[in-house]
Amino acid sequence: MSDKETVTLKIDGIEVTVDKGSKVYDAAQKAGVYLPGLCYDPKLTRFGGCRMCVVDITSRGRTRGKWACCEPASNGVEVTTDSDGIRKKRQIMMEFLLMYHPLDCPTCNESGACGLQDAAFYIKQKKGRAPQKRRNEPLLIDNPVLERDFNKCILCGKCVIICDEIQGKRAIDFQQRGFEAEVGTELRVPLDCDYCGQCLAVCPTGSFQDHTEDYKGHDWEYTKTVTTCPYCAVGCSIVINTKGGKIVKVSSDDYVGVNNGNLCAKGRFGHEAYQADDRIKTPMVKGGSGWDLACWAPVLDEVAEKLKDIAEKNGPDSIAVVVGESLSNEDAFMVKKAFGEGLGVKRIDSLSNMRNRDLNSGLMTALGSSAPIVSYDEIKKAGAFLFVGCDAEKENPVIANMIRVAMRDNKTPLYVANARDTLFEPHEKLRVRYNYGGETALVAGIVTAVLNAATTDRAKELGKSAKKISLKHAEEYSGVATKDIKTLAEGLTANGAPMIFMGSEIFDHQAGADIARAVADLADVTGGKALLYREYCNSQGVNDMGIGADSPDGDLFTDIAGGRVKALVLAGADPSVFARDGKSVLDAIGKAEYVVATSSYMNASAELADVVLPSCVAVEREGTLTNNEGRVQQWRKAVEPLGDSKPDWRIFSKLGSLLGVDCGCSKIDEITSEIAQKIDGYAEITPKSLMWGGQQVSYSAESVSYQYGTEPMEIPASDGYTHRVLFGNSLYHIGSLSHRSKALTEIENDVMAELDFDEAEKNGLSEGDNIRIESEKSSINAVVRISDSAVPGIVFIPKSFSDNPALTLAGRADAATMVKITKVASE
Amino acid sequence: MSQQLEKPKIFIGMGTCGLAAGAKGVHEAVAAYLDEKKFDADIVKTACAGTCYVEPLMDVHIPGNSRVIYQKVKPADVGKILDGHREGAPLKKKALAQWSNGEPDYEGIPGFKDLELNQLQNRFILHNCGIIDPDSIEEYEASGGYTALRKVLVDEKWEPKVFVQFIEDSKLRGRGGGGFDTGWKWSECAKYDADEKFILCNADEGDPGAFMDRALLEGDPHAVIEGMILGGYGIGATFGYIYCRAEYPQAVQRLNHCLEACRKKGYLGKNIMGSDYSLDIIVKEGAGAFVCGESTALQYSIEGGRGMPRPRPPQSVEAGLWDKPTVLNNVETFANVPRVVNIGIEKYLSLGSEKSGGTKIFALSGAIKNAGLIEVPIGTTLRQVIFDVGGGIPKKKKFKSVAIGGPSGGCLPESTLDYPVDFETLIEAGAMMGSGSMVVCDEDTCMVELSRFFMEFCADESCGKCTPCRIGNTVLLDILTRITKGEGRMEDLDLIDEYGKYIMSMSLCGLGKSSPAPALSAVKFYREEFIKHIVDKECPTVKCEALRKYIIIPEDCTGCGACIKPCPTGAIMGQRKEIVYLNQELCIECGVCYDKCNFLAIL
Repeated sequence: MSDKETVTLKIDGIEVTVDKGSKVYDAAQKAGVYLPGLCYDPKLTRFGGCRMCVVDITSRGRTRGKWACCEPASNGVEVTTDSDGIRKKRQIMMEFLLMYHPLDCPTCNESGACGLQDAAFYIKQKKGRAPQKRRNEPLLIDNPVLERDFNKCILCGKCVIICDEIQGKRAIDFQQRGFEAEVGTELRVPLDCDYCGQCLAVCPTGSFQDHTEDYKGHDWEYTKTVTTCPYCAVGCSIVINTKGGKIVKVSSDDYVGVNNGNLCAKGRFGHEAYQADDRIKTPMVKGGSGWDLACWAPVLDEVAEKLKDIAEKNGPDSIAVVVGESLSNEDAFMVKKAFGEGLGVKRIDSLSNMRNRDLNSGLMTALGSSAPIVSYDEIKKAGAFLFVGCDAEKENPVIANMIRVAMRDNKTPLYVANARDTLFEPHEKLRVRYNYGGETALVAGIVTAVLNAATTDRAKELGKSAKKISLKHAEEYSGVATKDIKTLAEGLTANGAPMIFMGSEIFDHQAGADIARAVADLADVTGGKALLYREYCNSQGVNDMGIGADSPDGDLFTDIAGGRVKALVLAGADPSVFARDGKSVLDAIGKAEYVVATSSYMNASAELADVVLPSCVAVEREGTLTNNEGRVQQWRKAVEPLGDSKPDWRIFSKLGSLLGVDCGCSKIDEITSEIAQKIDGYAEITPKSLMWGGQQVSYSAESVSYQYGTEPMEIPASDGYTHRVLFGNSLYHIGSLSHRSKALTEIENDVMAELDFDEAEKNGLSEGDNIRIESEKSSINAVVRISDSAVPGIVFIPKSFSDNPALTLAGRADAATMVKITKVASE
Repeated sequence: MSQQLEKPKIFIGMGTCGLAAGAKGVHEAVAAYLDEKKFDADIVKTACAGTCYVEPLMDVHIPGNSRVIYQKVKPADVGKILDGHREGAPLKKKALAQWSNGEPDYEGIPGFKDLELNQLQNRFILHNCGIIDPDSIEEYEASGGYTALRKVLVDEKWEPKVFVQFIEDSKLRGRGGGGFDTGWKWSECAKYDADEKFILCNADEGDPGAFMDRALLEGDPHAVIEGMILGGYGIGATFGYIYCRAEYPQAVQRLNHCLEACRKKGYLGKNIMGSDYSLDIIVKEGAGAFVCGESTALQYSIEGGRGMPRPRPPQSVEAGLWDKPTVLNNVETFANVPRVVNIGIEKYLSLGSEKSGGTKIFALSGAIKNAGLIEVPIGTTLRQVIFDVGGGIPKKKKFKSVAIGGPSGGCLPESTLDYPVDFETLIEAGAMMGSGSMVVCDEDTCMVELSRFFMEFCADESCGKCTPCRIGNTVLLDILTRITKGEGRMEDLDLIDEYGKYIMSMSLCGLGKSSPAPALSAVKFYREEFIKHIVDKECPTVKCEALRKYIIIPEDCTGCGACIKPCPTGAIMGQRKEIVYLNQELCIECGVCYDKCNFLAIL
């Protein structure tokens, strides 16, 4: 902050210094002076519509009425926020508002958390002198998550601005004119948007209502617990609102965490999943006629005995553990400790690791400081953005929000290099589409162009000798024109250090590690940073805990099927959906001698287990998790665990004790402290340091040279299969949790396969058609979505749907998965 | 017109006002006449000459004689007029006036300048309107067009700074309503360095009763374009837009045509007239929102957004359209620019008052004899405008009020008639120059109803962004409507005053800052009339329908008794040969008695 210019002014005699460019409103807040302002939000462009924040500003001897939310703070001015004249002005404005806004506070969901109530109370507004002038519109419920009450809207415009500026959607805007003016969709067609609920979060009145809250209570009745969102890897802070031990809703707080109050549909409306009816509440043991309910102690004894037995008979390598990436650091640490120390098990792995070890855990050690862990703060400072194989909007929506804010504030240019035409508002400066398999060639080409231009310090230092590919080859391999490659190089270096984002396309790529290294190289020569999107809320942390570090090579499920691995422990993991070639995975699990699963919900893999142990969900437990930027944040307990469910760390510490390990932990803080001692980079991470907003892991940085192949990947031809699959996550579903949420499944219940318009039309397919997608391995049902992001020859399929798991289509070592699509008659 | 005429020309006033009066039929009739009689003449479509009250107009100009203006021409008259004219005997009955350029005049036809309405006028800006063919760039050039541009850009090569200083010295004030100092605005904008700058022309004329901009755009579009190019040169604009409302299709079409002609002639495009300066201008059609006449809303509209004003700062001159420095001026302001350059500052200043140079165009309408477009030097008094130029109130009715500046101006009473028309005086009086509409009201106009009408317009046209304008105006409209229905209370008058003042001080943009003005001035000047509505439940002008009462006029009642029997409620009482009595409490205002009365004794 020290490099910023500041201005000093007086608010009601209190001297405050604020950054240049701040508004008088910000200064008043800093001085601790309350101003009624209904349309002001520091994170949005000013609107100036409610006129409530009127103040008197004296500058150069002249006093004039100005609006604090619009007036830039300038040196030496004196601001008076309260006087008879000002009060009168505000009173008249409030009188107008209350003639318009219905005074049905007793039956309003927003009551108690209502900005209008607060302001009216402050102004001490009494009954209006002219008859009221109300609108009489019925409540509009046209989507699963948001209710609209047009009568209560005071047109502060915040929802419109956040939808445009931060969400990039422009799903709602002002409609009509004059008294009839309202915020909504054109002609009131049903809302079709990201359902992020950002509009709901900023609405000062009850005009936007959370449908999932469903009038369960008033704001003052709720207990609020700040915790970390258990869905994706951004690590947003969410506020769990509970009443009587039940979760009522999730809200956001602008002043806590990394997300500045922004949330996506999953985080804000996915809370029904946490306490869903079909949670596993008791340990279950498979008996002759199905599942028998059991008590913890005998079940754990039995599991320990059985595993000990198998280890003794077949050696520790006959036992394997798969750790889910939505477990906390403590969970993962305890799994490793219990099985590693107790039974000498080496094969403790995560699915990401098994899919792409080089990329997932190898990268951290292979790469230097520039990748792939960078702070989100870098987004604000970046001189340009580049997406490589990344659908920012869908994968990590809140990072997309941060990018948009930076683009708004700094006019940061955006460049996109994807295999598809993924959408992003506001628009990019240049978009290139590369041939699948030619990613490294493209990135290496940009590196070459940067080195040729030699405008950055690092490029000058390295000289042309460092280049790894000629531009001609880059064009040939990647399919991107040399001209565009040069433009990208120029764009990335023109305004200072760029920031490069890699998404799931890279993550699922067989050559992902090479691509990531090439991107790190690019970051190095441009002086920029690179960020690899992780998939789940603790993908990074599970990795850091050393899960997979000692795993032997070789495919786990082949080994199980071949009888080399006898016992399998699934700690919050469901390989049947989230591993490639799910059918063979299920076959393998079925062949295992003994399978133990911990899970909150029943899933296809757990169905095959001998013992299923109920683990509780994120909001019922404590723990720490590490997000995309390597920031460790806390899970805090908002509600009591359902039934007999327990956090995984507790289950495994008990099991560990039974296996003879000194787990001795009864408190989570002890494990956190043990992690700080034993895990590299986590030394500073203590329960105390996490209290406010978490703390970043200090990863050791090495200076390395980036080795990667630039030859295009060979993709074997496959006859009869027409489309290449890109796997990814849908905006509304990730992992298995989101599918338990009523709201999210109402928004999206089917596998939406994204196809190009022209191509679909040629094949007689249109939006909403049921299709069958078939590969050499298996087939799934899906529904066609015609998408502007799609390109011919590529079908995008979200992978987390357990009814139709997309990953079953893929062979485990496929360079590319090819499918054919047939239309099926709708039921 | 200095051009030598070679063959007869027939000018038909085909501005929107002419067309509305039936000029199209006249045009067809003329064409048919020429065809039939093998009369070799050119037909020129001109635009409004300002004399809207006598439309459709047809001028006939035969070489060697003066140009005669025929008024209220019907297609059936065409043959007679042309026959007569060709024989050297103009139809005097239909002739309004004649224009001469040193050619011999016809006897018995007044000169155009001698007309009553033209005596006080100074057609300084309108000098081409209705006279030249607006589509013809050559005619504009012949009347002195683009000489100012040539002077500044080519002949005398003024520095932009010098030119802006020149405009500043001319005291040219924005004619859009606010009277903002044009030169100062331009010099502010010129200060900012940017890769792109914009010059915008506000042709979104939306006030009821205002048609000055339309007349200029239809009658002399090149003058506006020339002014814009000059302004663009002064501030260093890289692109220009004319924001014209789509309801002016003729103006839009004409502008597009003229801009194309300018591009061909090198007045627009790269290196204008061989100078270093490049500019292109396009027309952007507005979608009909009144608020888009506000500068920031206009800019949003051009950007493709919803026309909604934004708070300032930053001012448009710093970050306007697409966040680039932008200057927005009104049509009339731009039309002034080439004229100022041509005649020089001294002469220009001598035209107007002390604080503002030049003339102002007004659109006179309402209860006035010579409705139309007039141009008077700034500082002319209201009385001169209305009674001398406008010819006063028709049908010998009394003057009651003049609404200046449309829905954002005010209604001024007779006591203010001797005020000079300039920016400051009008604001002091409680009205504003506005764009220049003057709606004259005679004694039959109900001031409550008039202010209600203006308020309805503003409440309707409010964009809905800020609280005072969206809700306040509607509340005021409600109160006024109540009063017109006889449901008003005395407190309402204070409420109108109080709410109105706060709406004006708290609103975000000019619409809300001025919308209560008509109501405020009406309450101020015609308070008695409001009280009559509220207390006596009576509308003195019988304009408010809900307050309409039937009354017996004793002088006219013959005592025929025809009304007594039909009255369904027995409200009319009386004997034959006696003046009847109407019991207001029983009357249900069915109107039967009114129909029955043969002596107009029941009103």
